Amino acid sequence: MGKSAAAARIVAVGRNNIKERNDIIPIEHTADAGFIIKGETTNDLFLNAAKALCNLMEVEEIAPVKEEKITLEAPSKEELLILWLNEIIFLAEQKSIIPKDIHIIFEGNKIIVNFKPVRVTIRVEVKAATYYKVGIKKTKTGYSTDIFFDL
Amino acid sequence: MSFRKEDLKKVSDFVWEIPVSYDRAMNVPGRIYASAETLPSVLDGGALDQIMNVAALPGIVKHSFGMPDIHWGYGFPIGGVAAFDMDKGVISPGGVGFDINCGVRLAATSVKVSDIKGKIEDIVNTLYSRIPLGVGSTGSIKASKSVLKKVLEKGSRWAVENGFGKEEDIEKTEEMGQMKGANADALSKRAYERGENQIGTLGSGNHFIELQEVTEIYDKSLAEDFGLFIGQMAIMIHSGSRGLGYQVCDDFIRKLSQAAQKYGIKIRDRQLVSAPVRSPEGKEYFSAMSAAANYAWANRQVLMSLSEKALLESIGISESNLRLTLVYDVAHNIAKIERHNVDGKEIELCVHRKGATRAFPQGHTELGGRFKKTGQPVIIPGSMGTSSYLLVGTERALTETFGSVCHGAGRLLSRSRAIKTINSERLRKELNKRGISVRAKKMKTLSEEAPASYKNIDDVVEVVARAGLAKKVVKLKPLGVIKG
Repeated sequence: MGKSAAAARIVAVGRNNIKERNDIIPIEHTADAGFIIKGETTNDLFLNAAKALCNLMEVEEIAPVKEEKITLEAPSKEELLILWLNEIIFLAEQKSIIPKDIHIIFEGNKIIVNFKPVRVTIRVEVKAATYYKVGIKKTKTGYSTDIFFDL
Repeated sequence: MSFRKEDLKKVSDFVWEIPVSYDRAMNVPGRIYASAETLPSVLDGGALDQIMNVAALPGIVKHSFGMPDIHWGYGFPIGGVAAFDMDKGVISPGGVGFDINCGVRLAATSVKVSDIKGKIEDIVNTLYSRIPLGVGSTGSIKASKSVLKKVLEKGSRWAVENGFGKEEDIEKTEEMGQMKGANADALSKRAYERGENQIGTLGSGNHFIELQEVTEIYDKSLAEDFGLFIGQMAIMIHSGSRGLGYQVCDDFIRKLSQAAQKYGIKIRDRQLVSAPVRSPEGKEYFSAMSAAANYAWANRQVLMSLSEKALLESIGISESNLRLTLVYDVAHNIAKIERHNVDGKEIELCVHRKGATRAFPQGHTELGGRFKKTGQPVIIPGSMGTSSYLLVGTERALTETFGSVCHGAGRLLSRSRAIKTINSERLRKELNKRGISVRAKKMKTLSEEAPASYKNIDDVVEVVARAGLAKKVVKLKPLGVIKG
């Protein structure tokens, strides 16, 4: 297990802080919210996309709850990424939790995600991560994709 | 991609065309409704690329349309209309959007605004405290699976049968508030889970309940038919199918992604995944979307009933003196099977309206009762702090745009730019000075939804009216608004 499977924390920061990161770059979009997401590995890419989403939702942490594991499966990495982000939106909206201390393990067309859920309040409703322009590309430094969220 | 005005062919003063020669993949031309003044706002951003992507879908009939409020979305543009042949064409969740049957309803009262002048703030505060709103808000209705099934099948009727509103509300709702092809069993467990606590909740973002005053009448006879008069208090409700609808869209984008491959449908944007209209996958999506649409109608019906209670309490009058009466309820994110005349032949089509409103003319067979005589009411809300309009559909809309017009002002600024450039507290004070009371869960929402973030609603409605797609009936100005 290399860096890609190492523990990563999602830190809730204000939406404006996103612009200071070079792995999460906002894209101006008239109606919704878009980002260029980068990562040295696909694992980093998935984590950074989750960070962008949690920043967008303006989550405020309240208290940790017990560790959880989810398994998601999709025919392509792109669909898996959208599935993962929509899982976070579901957890946030329905259970008022977001994942923290995330371990993602890729197994073929599956990801197994271990995380510590944190109870949160959410200030911005994100309806869904969309498939618009999503496409994971190999770059010189790793991986990159655009992501647009429906607000 | 940015377009230049020269890239478009001028068809008339209000219609601009992207010819098929512009892009070989297009099956039909794109058509955008705009004036010389509003066109520049359409040229930048991705909206016209999205018009072309839709034009490249199989079985599209006549044109891929952009209404006067068109702006960049995902999949279809917002303000996009496209009709597909039932045999050669497709149905796409991206042509409806995540908020299935997001829509607007307008209800009038017997109250004169001059009689409640000092009470506006109290009314707004009461609405704000009585209406569940904001992210993930839950309502007082906890629907079991069997109850939810009834909501999904019956729509507005479920709400009326359970004490939320009157029988006449159903007649004044598009499709009588109930899509007939709904199948509650086509929804996932997760969709049910998301829907169980959200009936009668407003949501957040651009959803709102607004207290309004009728300030101008353009057609006296139609205004009378709709029970509207100058100085009258009205309310407008904008909401949709909440988390349940978002889940249905997400579930079916994944399902139809496989169908698109199976049927060899070439798409340029994954958000446009589609299935042939009559395929098992296409039918299943239509039945699930219809169920979510019914949920949205039940939601707006309950929201109206909760608003009525808040009005009664804050104004301190009886139900018979308030007389909250629905004018009409329209869907603006939906796909419908409709009959249209194409090249002299009456055929069935699958019409997608994403951020667009149906606008059928008087005499249309789909319209019942009073609306057969008046034409279908079309509700076009302005942005926060600006006027809204009630219009009626025309024959021209039916022949040109499959009976469709725009759904609002249309965004101009991105949300992040709006937050950066518009001070929410200053805006709230300015609105207050103009006599508009605002309550929002989050101050930033005010910047995002500020009038400057949107196109000028008067210009947009002027394009609709002058292009002959709908006829203006009344103008309403805002008095107060609540937002999630």
